Amino acid sequence: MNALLRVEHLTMRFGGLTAVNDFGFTANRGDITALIGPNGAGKTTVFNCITGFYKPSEGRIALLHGAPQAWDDLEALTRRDARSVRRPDGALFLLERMPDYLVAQRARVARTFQNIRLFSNLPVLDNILIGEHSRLRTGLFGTILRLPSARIEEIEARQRAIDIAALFGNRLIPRLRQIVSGLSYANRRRVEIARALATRPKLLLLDEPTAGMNPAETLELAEQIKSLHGLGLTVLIIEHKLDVVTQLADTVVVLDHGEKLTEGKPAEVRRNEDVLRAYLGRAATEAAHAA
Amino acid sequence: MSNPSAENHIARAFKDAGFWALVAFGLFLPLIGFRAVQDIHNELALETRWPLLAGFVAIVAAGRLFHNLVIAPWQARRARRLAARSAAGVAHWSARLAGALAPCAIGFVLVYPAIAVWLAGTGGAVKWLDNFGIQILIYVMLGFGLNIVVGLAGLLDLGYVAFYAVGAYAYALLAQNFGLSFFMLLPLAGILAAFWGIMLGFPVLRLRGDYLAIVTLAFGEIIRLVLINWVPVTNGYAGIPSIPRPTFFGIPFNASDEGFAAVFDLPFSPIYRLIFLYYIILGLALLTSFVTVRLRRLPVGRAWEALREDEIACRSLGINTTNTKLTAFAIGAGFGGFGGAFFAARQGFISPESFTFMESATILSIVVLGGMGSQIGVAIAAVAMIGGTEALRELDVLKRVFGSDFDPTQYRMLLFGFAMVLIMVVRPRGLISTRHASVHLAERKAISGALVREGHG
Repeated sequence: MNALLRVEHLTMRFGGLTAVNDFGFTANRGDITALIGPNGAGKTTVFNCITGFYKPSEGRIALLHGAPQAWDDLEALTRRDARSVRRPDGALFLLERMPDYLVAQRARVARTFQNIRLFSNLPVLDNILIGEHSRLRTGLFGTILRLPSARIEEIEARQRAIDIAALFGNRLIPRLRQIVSGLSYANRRRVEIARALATRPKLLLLDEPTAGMNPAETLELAEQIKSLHGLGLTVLIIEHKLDVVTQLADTVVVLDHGEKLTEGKPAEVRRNEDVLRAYLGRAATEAAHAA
Repeated sequence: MSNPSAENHIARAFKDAGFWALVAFGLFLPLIGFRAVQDIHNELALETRWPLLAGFVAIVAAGRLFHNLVIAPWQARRARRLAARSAAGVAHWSARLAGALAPCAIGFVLVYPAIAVWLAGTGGAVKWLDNFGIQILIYVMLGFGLNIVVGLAGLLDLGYVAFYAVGAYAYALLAQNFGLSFFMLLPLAGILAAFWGIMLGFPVLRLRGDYLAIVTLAFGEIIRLVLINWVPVTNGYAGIPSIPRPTFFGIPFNASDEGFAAVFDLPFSPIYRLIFLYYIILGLALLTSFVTVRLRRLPVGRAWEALREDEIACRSLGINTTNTKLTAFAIGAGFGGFGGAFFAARQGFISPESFTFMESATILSIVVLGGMGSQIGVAIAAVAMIGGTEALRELDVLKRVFGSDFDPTQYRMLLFGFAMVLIMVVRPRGLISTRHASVHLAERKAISGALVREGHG
């Protein structure tokens, strides 16, 4: 097993409400893992815990950079009350102990949001460039004095931003200078993914990337996500459209009422009776049996 | 437009004007209609002022009618024209103007002292340099400084004058007690103000919007109260008199034999000192503007603008929002400190009276009127607001119209209010509301103000 992310015994309570209860799963390096479940199952809560926006009530979320041998340090790290441990062959992070911006900066976890959160009064290119911000080194004085190093870094950053936009074919390239709020919904989704990619993540979390897209656009985006995965990126995706999930995912994790229902290959999960019941209700399952 | 609908339109306009006249009547009835006066028996008596009330109601009704029949149709036509133009990719006039205006404006302010002396003579130019030149430039600089905090980083700061006060008192006290020179103390005052910016920033920058505004407002008041009550150091209400004036590289501007005029073999005149001060504040204002323009094009400035748009998204991208806000706050405060040090050096006397909330409000309205984030817009707004106030003093003509005890400066706030309402109705995002993209690709295409107008979230 070549795990990149391990979520164990994750529990998130909001007062008396338990949104996620003793949930755990593993995302393997280079895989696309889909998180599915009915509305209110706690999928986005899991995302928020992984990215540090929520501090989980209980549980451990560990992420590994580099060689799998570093997993051996996990127990020691957990006891040591530290955020991360670095070794020559890799680094191990305990995400639940890190503030949200460090999860993105150090542990290199990038995400998109269910209700798009772009910098809507800025152009597309600026949005992507802001994604690169945590990877840039130019400081205040370098900026004011416009040192050669700052200029070179800026030129390179723009080139990278354009390259990232080019991943979406001709969807974003002609619109780089347009203000984001004027873009179509689908294009705004694409900008958000491009912006997340600009942080050069190891793990990319997509929260319903195809919501609000028509079937053709959905298909196109699914292809593009598949190609990202070709870049060696590990992807965690929340998705409601089951055909997209079947097409993309290597592993599917099903969540219902904050608890894990099942986990497996897409085809297996689709046949699972518990999943059908959770999604469609009892009557529909019986109808499916009758047929 | 067919005839019945035009009549309908006019009828509606009258009906609307009638409604607002009624509202005005209700509002002004207690305010203007009645007046309590003490009669000869020293008792309160109610006096009614029906004609005055009728006058005010009539003004409101006529104004509303004018708006309905003339201004509203004009605005509708204008909106249509704008939409057509932005669809065609033509820049709004303000964008084209702003591009051409900046170099002209810088050229003009550079030669302004020469023009003033040439036109008004050495004696007459004093007023034009001091009241119009230096006074306006101080506010231009403060506007630029606050623009970093409010316009770029989107942090509403109502206590900006606190940093101005820190800079002024830092210069005044250090110059008096340690005899350090102006040019040594200028950076020091900036650093001290920036330090206080960080001190304030650490606890409060987790707040946002209105809450931050309230805390910064309180901070401005706290600084002022400390200045009033810490008498052993600040001398309280009495203020600090005879602050050392800046010298021309060690040569003082006075009538003595070592003075500037004597050394350069010129007839003595206060104008040399003013020209010198003018160029110092011009330099400071240009420095502030230069730093802002540089910063906004590169990562730090982009992070500020991102912060203004969406803080959560910033954090998801690995941007340390606390540090980013602190940088904006500290840099803005630092420029406020520069401005304060200059103010103290120019006045030669400072007291807590100079650092009231009114100053913060004036600087903030300059930023808002000018268009948040726009440099040239802020400069124009400062000229209009501060220059306008000074110009009111000059209007002796009005005294002939309204009587000799009429003081036009008393109406300053009323005029500010009108200007504010007018700008917010006509150009809701400020005079120059165009945002130039921080990134330029091969072909340049300006973005219309209509596209960046607020109302999307």
